[in-house]
Amino acid sequence: MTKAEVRATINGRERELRVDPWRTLLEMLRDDMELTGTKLGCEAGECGACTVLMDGKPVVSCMSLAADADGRTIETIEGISTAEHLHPLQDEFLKLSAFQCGYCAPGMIMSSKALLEHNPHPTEREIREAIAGNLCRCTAYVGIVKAIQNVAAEGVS
Amino acid sequence: MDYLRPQTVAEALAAIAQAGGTATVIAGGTDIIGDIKFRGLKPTALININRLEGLRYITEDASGLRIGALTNIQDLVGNPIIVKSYTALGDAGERFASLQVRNLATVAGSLGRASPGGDMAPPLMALGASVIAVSPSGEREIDLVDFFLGPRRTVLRPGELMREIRIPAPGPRSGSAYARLSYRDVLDLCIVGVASGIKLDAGNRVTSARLALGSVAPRPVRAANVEAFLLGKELTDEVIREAGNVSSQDANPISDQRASAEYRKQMMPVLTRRSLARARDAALG
Ligand SMILES: Cc1cc2nc3c(=O)[nH]c(=O)nc-3n(C[C@H](O)[C@H](O)[C@H](O)COP(=O)(O)OP(=O)(O)OC[C@H]3O[C@@H](n4cnc5c(N)ncnc54)[C@H](O)[C@@H]3O)c2cc1C
Ligand code: FES
Ligand code: FES
Repeated sequence: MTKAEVRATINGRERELRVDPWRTLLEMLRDDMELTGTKLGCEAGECGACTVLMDGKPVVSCMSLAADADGRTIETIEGISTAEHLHPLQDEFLKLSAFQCGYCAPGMIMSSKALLEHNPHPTEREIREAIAGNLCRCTAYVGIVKAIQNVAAEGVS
Repeated sequence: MDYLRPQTVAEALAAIAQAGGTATVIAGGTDIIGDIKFRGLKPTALININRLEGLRYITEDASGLRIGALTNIQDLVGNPIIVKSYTALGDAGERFASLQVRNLATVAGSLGRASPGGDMAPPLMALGASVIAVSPSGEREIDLVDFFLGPRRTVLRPGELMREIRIPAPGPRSGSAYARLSYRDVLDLCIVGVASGIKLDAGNRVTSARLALGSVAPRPVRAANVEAFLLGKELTDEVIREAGNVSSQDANPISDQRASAEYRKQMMPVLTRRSLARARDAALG
Protein backbone atom coordinates (compact mmCIF):
# COMPACT_ATOMS: atom_id res chain seq x y z
CA MET A 1 0.00 0.00 0.00
CA THR A 2 1.18 3.50 -0.83
CA LYS A 3 2.02 5.79 2.06
CA ALA A 4 1.88 9.57 2.00
CA GLU A 5 5.03 11.50 2.88
CA VAL A 6 4.56 14.42 5.21
CA ARG A 7 7.27 16.98 5.83
CA ALA A 8 5.89 19.69 8.05
CA THR A 9 6.94 22.18 10.68
CA ILE A 10 5.02 21.13 13.76
CA ASN A 11 5.27 23.42 16.77
CA GLY A 12 8.46 24.91 15.36
CA ARG A 13 10.21 21.59 14.62
CA GLU A 14 10.75 20.05 11.19
CA ARG A 15 9.15 16.62 11.16
CA GLU A 16 9.04 13.82 8.60
CA LEU A 17 6.37 11.16 8.73
CA ARG A 18 4.91 8.45 6.53
CA VAL A 19 1.18 8.04 7.01
CA ASP A 20 -1.73 6.16 5.48
CA PRO A 21 -3.21 8.35 2.74
CA TRP A 22 -6.61 8.63 4.45
CA ARG A 23 -5.17 9.32 7.91
CA THR A 24 -6.48 12.56 9.33
CA LEU A 25 -4.26 15.29 10.70
CA LEU A 26 -5.89 14.73 14.10
CA GLU A 27 -4.94 11.03 14.09
CA MET A 28 -1.40 11.86 13.04
CA LEU A 29 -0.99 14.43 15.82
CA ARG A 30 -2.57 12.39 18.60
CA ASP A 31 -1.67 8.80 17.70
CA ASP A 32 1.57 9.06 15.70
CA MET A 33 3.12 12.04 17.49
CA GLU A 34 1.49 11.73 20.91
CA LEU A 35 0.45 15.36 20.83
CA THR A 36 -2.73 14.58 22.73
CA GLY A 37 -3.42 18.18 23.72
CA THR A 38 -5.54 18.47 20.58
CA LYS A 39 -8.87 16.84 21.45
CA LEU A 40 -11.13 14.49 19.57
CA GLY A 41 -14.80 15.35 19.96
CA CYS A 42 -17.35 14.77 17.21
CA GLU A 43 -14.77 13.71 14.61
CA ALA A 44 -17.06 15.27 12.00
CA GLY A 45 -15.97 18.90 11.79
CA GLU A 46 -18.77 20.18 13.98
CA CYS A 47 -17.39 20.85 17.47
CA GLY A 48 -13.98 22.48 17.00
CA ALA A 49 -12.28 20.49 19.81
CA CYS A 50 -9.63 19.41 17.29
CA THR A 51 -8.82 22.93 16.05
CA VAL A 52 -5.16 23.51 15.15
CA LEU A 53 -3.51 26.27 13.13
CA MET A 54 -2.33 25.44 9.61
CA ASP A 55 -0.15 28.22 8.22
CA GLY A 56 -1.70 30.39 10.92
CA LYS A 57 -5.32 29.60 10.05
CA PRO A 58 -7.66 27.60 12.27
CA VAL A 59 -8.79 24.28 10.75
CA VAL A 60 -10.60 21.24 12.11
CA SER A 61 -7.84 18.61 12.09
CA CYS A 62 -10.41 15.77 12.08
CA MET A 63 -11.56 16.78 8.59
CA SER A 64 -8.15 17.41 7.09
CA LEU A 65 -5.83 14.80 5.64
CA ALA A 66 -2.49 14.38 7.40
CA ALA A 67 -1.03 14.31 3.88
CA ASP A 68 -2.23 17.87 3.36
CA ALA A 69 0.03 19.06 6.18
CA ASP A 70 2.97 18.40 3.86
CA GLY A 71 4.98 21.59 3.40
CA ARG A 72 2.93 23.50 5.95
CA THR A 73 3.35 24.91 9.41
CA ILE A 74 1.14 23.33 12.07
CA GLU A 75 0.66 24.77 15.51
CA THR A 76 -1.07 22.88 18.33
CA ILE A 77 -1.80 23.77 21.94
CA GLU A 78 1.51 22.15 22.96
CA GLY A 79 3.40 24.67 20.84
CA ILE A 80 2.16 27.90 22.33
CA SER A 81 3.75 27.73 25.79
CA THR A 82 7.00 26.67 27.42
CA ALA A 83 7.48 24.86 30.73
CA GLU A 84 8.05 28.23 32.42
CA HIS A 85 5.70 30.51 30.50
CA LEU A 86 2.11 29.98 29.56
CA HIS A 87 0.63 31.87 26.63
CA PRO A 88 -1.21 35.02 27.79
CA LEU A 89 -4.50 33.42 26.75
CA GLN A 90 -3.77 30.41 28.95
CA ASP A 91 -2.81 32.68 31.87
CA GLU A 92 -6.01 34.66 31.57
CA PHE A 93 -8.26 31.60 31.19
CA LEU A 94 -6.71 30.19 34.38
CA LYS A 95 -7.05 33.46 36.25
CA LEU A 96 -10.76 33.73 35.43
CA SER A 97 -11.40 29.97 35.71
CA ALA A 98 -13.00 30.56 32.35
CA PHE A 99 -13.33 26.87 31.51
CA GLN A 100 -15.31 24.25 33.39
CA CYS A 101 -14.39 20.71 32.28
CA GLY A 102 -11.81 22.15 29.88
CA TYR A 103 -12.40 19.76 27.01
CA CYS A 104 -13.03 22.58 24.55
CA ALA A 105 -10.05 24.57 25.85
CA PRO A 106 -7.29 23.59 23.38
CA GLY A 107 -9.51 24.29 20.37
CA MET A 108 -10.95 27.45 21.88
CA ILE A 109 -7.46 28.79 22.66
CA MET A 110 -6.15 28.03 19.16
CA SER A 111 -9.14 29.82 17.57
CA SER A 112 -8.64 32.80 19.92
CA LYS A 113 -4.93 32.90 19.17
CA ALA A 114 -5.58 33.02 15.41
CA LEU A 115 -8.11 35.81 15.94
CA LEU A 116 -5.82 38.00 18.04
CA GLU A 117 -2.94 37.51 15.63
CA HIS A 118 -4.79 39.12 12.74
CA ASN A 119 -7.16 41.29 14.74
CA PRO A 120 -5.55 42.38 18.03
CA HIS A 121 -8.54 44.48 19.13
CA PRO A 122 -11.68 42.55 18.19
CA THR A 123 -15.19 43.60 19.14
CA GLU A 124 -17.27 41.22 21.22
CA ARG A 125 -19.14 40.25 18.06
CA GLU A 126 -15.89 39.46 16.25
CA ILE A 127 -14.80 37.30 19.20
CA ARG A 128 -18.09 35.40 19.14
CA GLU A 129 -17.78 34.91 15.35
CA ALA A 130 -14.20 33.65 15.73
CA ILE A 131 -15.16 30.98 18.26
CA ALA A 132 -18.52 30.14 16.66
CA GLY A 133 -17.05 26.88 15.36
CA ASN A 134 -15.94 25.83 18.85
CA LEU A 135 -18.65 24.27 20.95
CA CYS A 136 -18.42 24.31 24.75
CA ARG A 137 -20.68 21.66 26.21
CA CYS A 138 -20.34 23.26 29.65
CA THR A 139 -21.60 26.53 28.10
CA ALA A 140 -18.78 28.50 29.68
CA TYR A 141 -19.04 31.06 26.87
CA VAL A 142 -19.43 34.18 29.02
CA GLY A 143 -16.13 33.54 30.81
CA ILE A 144 -14.42 32.48 27.58
CA VAL A 145 -15.38 35.71 25.80
CA LYS A 146 -14.36 37.76 28.84
CA ALA A 147 -10.93 36.11 28.99
CA ILE A 148 -10.30 36.84 25.31
CA GLN A 149 -11.42 40.45 25.81
CA ASN A 150 -9.02 40.85 28.74
CA VAL A 151 -6.08 39.52 26.76
CA ALA A 152 -6.95 41.80 23.84
CA ALA A 153 -7.11 44.79 26.20
CA GLU A 154 -3.69 43.99 27.68
CA GLY A 155 -2.16 43.20 24.28
CA VAL A 156 -0.69 39.80 23.43
CA SER A 157 3.03 39.70 24.18
CA MET B 1 -5.24 1.55 -2.03
CA ASP B 2 -3.25 3.71 -4.38
CA TYR B 3 -2.53 7.23 -3.36
CA LEU B 4 -1.38 9.99 -5.65
CA ARG B 5 -0.79 13.66 -5.14
CA PRO B 6 -0.30 15.21 -8.57
CA GLN B 7 1.26 18.68 -8.94
CA THR B 8 -0.37 19.80 -12.19
CA VAL B 9 -3.78 19.44 -13.81
CA ALA B 10 -2.23 17.35 -16.61
CA GLU B 11 -0.70 14.95 -14.08
CA ALA B 12 -4.02 14.76 -12.22
CA LEU B 13 -5.96 13.93 -15.39
CA ALA B 14 -3.42 11.27 -16.32
CA ALA B 15 -3.60 9.76 -12.81
CA ILE B 16 -7.39 9.62 -12.89
CA ALA B 17 -7.40 8.06 -16.36
CA GLN B 18 -4.85 5.47 -15.22
CA ALA B 19 -6.98 4.55 -12.19
CA GLY B 20 -9.70 3.72 -14.69
CA GLY B 21 -12.81 5.54 -13.54
CA THR B 22 -12.81 4.21 -9.97
CA ALA B 23 -10.54 6.84 -8.44
CA THR B 24 -11.79 9.09 -5.66
CA VAL B 25 -10.81 12.71 -6.18
CA ILE B 26 -10.28 14.62 -2.96
CA ALA B 27 -9.83 18.40 -2.68
CA GLY B 28 -10.48 20.04 0.70
CA GLY B 29 -11.79 16.69 1.90
CA THR B 30 -14.58 17.99 4.13
CA ASP B 31 -17.11 15.75 2.36
CA ILE B 32 -14.89 12.84 1.30
CA ILE B 33 -13.26 12.35 4.74
CA GLY B 34 -16.75 12.05 6.23
CA ASP B 35 -17.65 9.52 3.51
CA ILE B 36 -14.58 7.44 4.40
CA LYS B 37 -15.13 7.67 8.17
CA PHE B 38 -18.90 7.36 8.45
CA ARG B 39 -20.45 6.32 5.16
CA GLY B 40 -18.41 3.29 4.17
CA LEU B 41 -16.52 4.77 1.24
CA LYS B 42 -13.48 2.58 0.47
CA PRO B 43 -11.55 4.25 -2.32
CA THR B 44 -9.47 1.95 -4.51
CA ALA B 45 -7.38 4.98 -5.42
CA LEU B 46 -7.27 8.35 -3.69
CA ILE B 47 -6.18 11.22 -5.89
CA ASN B 48 -5.43 14.28 -3.85
CA ILE B 49 -5.82 17.38 -6.02
CA ASN B 50 -5.68 19.82 -3.10
CA ARG B 51 -2.19 21.02 -3.97
CA LEU B 52 -2.47 21.39 -7.74
CA GLU B 53 -0.55 24.49 -8.71
CA GLY B 54 -2.30 27.69 -9.70
CA LEU B 55 -5.92 26.74 -9.02
CA ARG B 56 -6.50 29.03 -6.07
CA TYR B 57 -7.37 32.56 -7.19
CA ILE B 58 -10.12 35.16 -7.46
CA THR B 59 -9.54 37.55 -10.36
CA GLU B 60 -11.69 40.06 -12.19
CA ASP B 61 -11.36 41.54 -15.65
CA ALA B 62 -13.74 43.22 -18.11
CA SER B 63 -15.45 39.92 -18.91
CA GLY B 64 -16.18 39.09 -15.27
CA LEU B 65 -14.93 37.04 -12.34
CA ARG B 66 -12.82 33.89 -12.40
CA ILE B 67 -12.51 31.65 -9.36
CA GLY B 68 -9.95 28.84 -9.29
CA ALA B 69 -11.43 25.43 -8.44
CA LEU B 70 -9.33 25.06 -5.28
CA THR B 71 -10.21 28.46 -3.85
CA ASN B 72 -11.24 28.00 -0.21
CA ILE B 73 -14.67 29.18 0.90
CA GLN B 74 -12.99 31.52 3.40
CA ASP B 75 -11.10 33.22 0.53
CA LEU B 76 -14.50 34.56 -0.64
CA VAL B 77 -15.26 36.16 2.73
CA GLY B 78 -14.29 39.82 2.82
CA ASN B 79 -12.71 39.68 -0.65
CA PRO B 80 -13.08 43.30 -1.89
CA ILE B 81 -14.10 42.33 -5.46
CA ILE B 82 -16.79 40.00 -4.15
CA VAL B 83 -18.02 42.46 -1.53
CA LYS B 84 -18.36 45.13 -4.23
CA SER B 85 -19.90 43.31 -7.18
CA TYR B 86 -20.81 39.71 -6.28
CA THR B 87 -22.56 40.16 -2.94
CA ALA B 88 -24.52 36.89 -3.07
CA LEU B 89 -21.30 34.90 -3.06
CA GLY B 90 -19.97 36.76 -0.02
CA ASP B 91 -23.29 36.22 1.79
CA ALA B 92 -22.99 32.48 1.18
CA GLY B 93 -19.34 32.36 2.21
CA GLU B 94 -20.03 34.02 5.55
CA ARG B 95 -22.78 31.60 6.50
CA PHE B 96 -21.02 28.46 5.29
CA ALA B 97 -20.18 25.91 8.03
CA SER B 98 -17.62 27.45 10.42
CA LEU B 99 -14.32 29.28 9.96
CA GLN B 100 -12.37 26.06 10.58
CA VAL B 101 -14.31 24.23 7.84
CA ARG B 102 -14.25 27.23 5.44
CA ASN B 103 -10.45 27.24 5.66
CA LEU B 104 -10.44 23.68 4.25
CA ALA B 105 -13.49 23.39 1.96
CA THR B 106 -13.18 24.43 -1.68
CA VAL B 107 -15.63 26.13 -4.03
CA ALA B 108 -15.42 23.38 -6.66
CA GLY B 109 -15.78 20.73 -3.93
CA SER B 110 -19.13 22.23 -2.99
CA LEU B 111 -20.33 22.02 -6.61
CA GLY B 112 -18.86 18.52 -6.97
CA ARG B 113 -20.81 17.34 -3.94
CA ALA B 114 -24.05 18.54 -5.58
CA SER B 115 -25.84 18.61 -2.25
CA PRO B 116 -29.41 19.93 -2.69
CA GLY B 117 -28.73 22.31 0.21
CA GLY B 118 -25.17 23.28 -0.70
CA ASP B 119 -24.54 26.99 -0.25
CA MET B 120 -22.35 27.70 -3.27
CA ALA B 121 -24.75 26.64 -6.03
CA PRO B 122 -27.66 29.12 -5.55
CA PRO B 123 -25.54 32.30 -5.47
CA LEU B 124 -23.39 31.11 -8.37
CA MET B 125 -26.51 30.24 -10.41
CA ALA B 126 -28.06 33.63 -9.64
CA LEU B 127 -24.86 35.26 -10.88
CA GLY B 128 -25.03 33.27 -14.14
CA ALA B 129 -21.91 31.20 -13.41
CA SER B 130 -20.45 28.41 -15.50
CA VAL B 131 -17.89 25.72 -14.77
CA ILE B 132 -14.79 25.08 -16.85
CA ALA B 133 -14.23 21.33 -16.90
CA VAL B 134 -11.05 19.73 -18.21
CA SER B 135 -10.42 16.20 -19.41
CA PRO B 136 -7.66 14.56 -21.44
CA SER B 137 -9.68 15.42 -24.57
CA GLY B 138 -9.87 19.14 -23.81
CA GLU B 139 -11.97 21.75 -22.06
CA ARG B 140 -15.66 22.54 -22.00
CA GLU B 141 -17.76 25.24 -20.37
CA ILE B 142 -20.90 24.07 -18.54
CA ASP B 143 -23.62 26.51 -17.50
CA LEU B 144 -24.34 25.83 -13.82
CA VAL B 145 -28.05 25.58 -14.68
CA ASP B 146 -27.24 22.36 -16.58
CA PHE B 147 -24.62 21.08 -14.12
CA PHE B 148 -26.60 19.33 -11.37
CA LEU B 149 -28.52 16.09 -11.94
CA GLY B 150 -29.50 15.28 -8.36
CA PRO B 151 -27.93 14.64 -4.95
CA ARG B 152 -24.21 13.89 -5.52
CA ARG B 153 -24.77 13.70 -9.27
CA THR B 154 -23.45 16.16 -11.80
CA VAL B 155 -22.89 16.12 -15.56
CA LEU B 156 -19.12 15.80 -14.99
CA ARG B 157 -17.84 12.69 -16.76
CA PRO B 158 -15.54 10.22 -15.06
CA GLY B 159 -12.05 11.61 -15.46
CA GLU B 160 -13.18 15.21 -15.80
CA LEU B 161 -12.04 17.89 -13.35
CA MET B 162 -13.34 21.34 -12.61
CA ARG B 163 -10.62 23.90 -13.23
CA GLU B 164 -12.40 27.24 -12.89
CA ILE B 165 -15.74 28.89 -12.16
CA ARG B 166 -16.63 31.90 -14.29
CA ILE B 167 -19.14 34.64 -13.61
CA PRO B 168 -20.01 37.18 -16.33
CA ALA B 169 -19.51 40.86 -15.40
CA PRO B 170 -22.77 42.00 -13.77
CA GLY B 171 -22.61 45.55 -15.17
CA PRO B 172 -23.97 48.77 -13.71
CA ARG B 173 -27.15 48.89 -11.61
CA SER B 174 -27.02 45.20 -10.86
CA GLY B 175 -27.02 43.55 -7.48
CA SER B 176 -27.16 40.14 -5.90
CA ALA B 177 -27.83 38.58 -2.51
CA TYR B 178 -28.27 35.21 -0.82
CA ALA B 179 -30.74 34.76 2.02
CA ARG B 180 -30.49 31.54 3.94
CA LEU B 181 -32.57 30.08 6.75
CA SER B 182 -31.18 27.69 9.36
CA TYR B 183 -31.92 27.06 13.03
CA ARG B 184 -28.43 28.17 14.06
CA ASP B 185 -26.37 30.79 12.26
CA VAL B 186 -23.25 28.65 12.34
CA LEU B 187 -22.61 25.00 11.48
CA ASP B 188 -26.15 24.32 10.43
CA LEU B 189 -27.24 23.33 6.97
CA CYS B 190 -29.71 25.47 5.11
CA ILE B 191 -33.50 24.86 5.37
CA VAL B 192 -34.33 27.20 2.49
CA GLY B 193 -31.86 29.34 0.55
CA VAL B 194 -32.74 31.94 -2.07
CA ALA B 195 -30.18 33.76 -4.20
CA SER B 196 -31.11 36.67 -6.47
CA GLY B 197 -29.20 38.44 -9.19
CA ILE B 198 -30.96 41.42 -10.74
CA LYS B 199 -30.32 44.30 -13.14
CA LEU B 200 -32.32 47.53 -13.04
CA ASP B 201 -32.73 50.33 -15.57
CA ALA B 202 -32.77 54.04 -14.71
CA GLY B 203 -36.43 53.76 -13.67
CA ASN B 204 -35.64 50.78 -11.37
CA ARG B 205 -37.39 48.42 -13.77
CA VAL B 206 -36.02 44.90 -13.78
CA THR B 207 -34.16 44.22 -17.03
CA SER B 208 -32.77 40.86 -15.94
CA ALA B 209 -33.58 38.57 -13.03
CA ARG B 210 -32.03 35.28 -12.02
CA LEU B 211 -33.18 33.57 -8.86
CA ALA B 212 -31.97 30.22 -7.57
CA LEU B 213 -33.41 28.12 -4.78
CA GLY B 214 -31.54 25.75 -2.48
CA SER B 215 -32.84 22.93 -0.23
CA VAL B 216 -36.29 22.83 -1.85
CA ALA B 217 -35.68 20.34 -4.68
CA PRO B 218 -33.35 17.38 -5.38
CA ARG B 219 -30.98 19.88 -6.97
CA PRO B 220 -30.59 23.65 -6.90
CA VAL B 221 -33.17 25.14 -9.27
CA ARG B 222 -33.91 28.49 -10.92
CA ALA B 223 -37.15 30.18 -9.86
CA ALA B 224 -38.59 30.57 -13.38
CA ASN B 225 -41.98 31.93 -12.28
CA VAL B 226 -40.49 34.64 -10.09
CA GLU B 227 -38.06 35.61 -12.84
CA ALA B 228 -40.89 35.96 -15.41
CA PHE B 229 -43.01 37.89 -12.92
CA LEU B 230 -40.24 40.41 -12.18
CA LEU B 231 -39.16 41.17 -15.72
CA GLY B 232 -40.07 44.73 -16.79
CA LYS B 233 -41.59 45.65 -13.41
CA GLU B 234 -40.39 48.49 -11.23
CA LEU B 235 -38.84 46.82 -8.17
CA THR B 236 -41.02 48.37 -5.46
CA ASP B 237 -41.66 46.89 -2.01
CA GLU B 238 -45.06 45.77 -3.28
CA VAL B 239 -43.54 43.96 -6.27
CA ILE B 240 -41.02 42.26 -3.97
CA ARG B 241 -43.88 41.15 -1.72
CA GLU B 242 -45.80 39.66 -4.65
CA ALA B 243 -42.66 38.03 -6.04
CA GLY B 244 -42.43 36.19 -2.74
CA ASN B 245 -45.91 34.78 -3.23
CA VAL B 246 -45.06 33.68 -6.77
CA SER B 247 -42.00 31.77 -5.50
CA SER B 248 -44.21 29.08 -3.97
CA GLN B 249 -44.94 27.92 -7.57
CA ASP B 250 -41.26 27.35 -8.24
CA ALA B 251 -40.57 24.23 -6.15
CA ASN B 252 -42.24 21.43 -4.25
CA PRO B 253 -39.98 20.82 -1.26
CA ILE B 254 -40.01 17.60 0.73
CA SER B 255 -39.94 16.92 4.47
CA ASP B 256 -36.73 15.69 6.05
CA GLN B 257 -35.06 15.72 9.46
CA ARG B 258 -34.41 19.44 9.21
CA ALA B 259 -37.85 20.77 8.26
CA SER B 260 -41.27 19.78 6.97
CA ALA B 261 -42.36 20.39 3.40
CA GLU B 262 -45.07 22.77 4.68
CA TYR B 263 -42.57 24.87 6.63
CA ARG B 264 -40.22 25.07 3.69
CA LYS B 265 -43.07 26.07 1.38
CA GLN B 266 -44.07 28.86 3.75
CA MET B 267 -40.53 30.08 4.15
CA MET B 268 -39.80 30.28 0.40
CA PRO B 269 -41.73 33.58 -0.01
CA VAL B 270 -40.08 35.04 3.10
CA LEU B 271 -36.57 34.20 1.95
CA THR B 272 -37.35 35.32 -1.61
CA ARG B 273 -38.39 38.75 -0.30
CA ARG B 274 -35.33 39.09 1.92
CA SER B 275 -33.06 38.10 -0.92
CA LEU B 276 -34.66 40.47 -3.45
CA ALA B 277 -34.70 43.43 -1.06
CA ARG B 278 -31.02 42.98 -0.33
CA ALA B 279 -30.19 42.53 -4.02
CA ARG B 280 -32.03 45.79 -4.75
CA ASP B 281 -29.98 47.57 -2.06
CA ALA B 282 -26.83 46.19 -3.65
CA ALA B 283 -27.92 47.35 -7.12
CA LEU B 284 -28.74 50.87 -5.96
CA GLY B 285 -26.00 51.15 -3.32
C1 LIG C 1 -19.04 20.36 9.74
C2 LIG C 1 -19.38 20.63 8.30
C3 LIG C 1 -20.25 21.67 7.99
C4 LIG C 1 -20.60 21.92 6.67
N1 LIG C 1 -21.42 22.99 6.42
C5 LIG C 1 -21.73 23.29 5.14
C6 LIG C 1 -22.54 24.43 4.84
O1 LIG C 1 -22.93 25.19 5.73
N2 LIG C 1 -22.85 24.66 3.54
C7 LIG C 1 -22.42 23.85 2.54
O2 LIG C 1 -22.72 24.12 1.40
N3 LIG C 1 -21.65 22.77 2.78
C8 LIG C 1 -21.30 22.46 4.06
N4 LIG C 1 -20.51 21.37 4.32
C9 LIG C 1 -20.12 20.47 3.21
C10 LIG C 1 -18.72 20.67 2.61
O3 LIG C 1 -17.90 21.45 3.44
C11 LIG C 1 -18.80 21.32 1.23
O4 LIG C 1 -19.53 20.52 0.38
C12 LIG C 1 -17.40 21.63 0.67
O5 LIG C 1 -17.45 22.75 -0.17
C13 LIG C 1 -16.75 20.51 -0.06
O6 LIG C 1 -15.50 20.95 -0.54
P1 LIG C 1 -14.17 20.09 -0.32
O7 LIG C 1 -13.09 20.74 -1.09
O8 LIG C 1 -13.94 19.89 1.11
O9 LIG C 1 -14.66 18.75 -1.02
P2 LIG C 1 -14.14 17.25 -1.08
O10 LIG C 1 -14.66 16.48 0.06
O11 LIG C 1 -12.68 17.21 -1.33
O12 LIG C 1 -14.89 16.83 -2.43
C14 LIG C 1 -16.30 16.92 -2.58
C15 LIG C 1 -16.71 16.30 -3.92
O13 LIG C 1 -16.33 17.13 -5.01
C16 LIG C 1 -15.44 16.44 -5.90
N5 LIG C 1 -14.47 17.44 -6.34
C17 LIG C 1 -13.77 18.31 -5.56
N6 LIG C 1 -13.02 19.13 -6.31
C18 LIG C 1 -13.24 18.77 -7.60
C19 LIG C 1 -12.74 19.26 -8.85
N7 LIG C 1 -11.90 20.29 -8.94
N8 LIG C 1 -13.20 18.67 -9.99
C20 LIG C 1 -14.07 17.62 -9.93
N9 LIG C 1 -14.58 17.13 -8.78
C21 LIG C 1 -14.16 17.69 -7.63
C22 LIG C 1 -14.88 15.30 -5.08
O14 LIG C 1 -14.49 14.22 -5.88
C23 LIG C 1 -16.06 14.96 -4.19
O15 LIG C 1 -16.98 14.17 -4.87
C24 LIG C 1 -20.11 21.10 5.64
C25 LIG C 1 -19.23 20.06 5.94
C26 LIG C 1 -18.86 19.82 7.25
C27 LIG C 1 -17.89 18.72 7.56
S1 FES D 1 -13.44 16.58 16.61
FE1 FES D 1 -12.99 17.79 14.91
S2 FES D 1 -14.60 19.21 14.92
FE2 FES D 1 -15.22 17.85 16.48
S1 FES E 1 -15.42 23.88 29.51
FE1 FES E 1 -16.36 21.96 29.22
S2 FES E 1 -16.61 21.90 27.07
FE2 FES E 1 -15.98 23.91 27.41
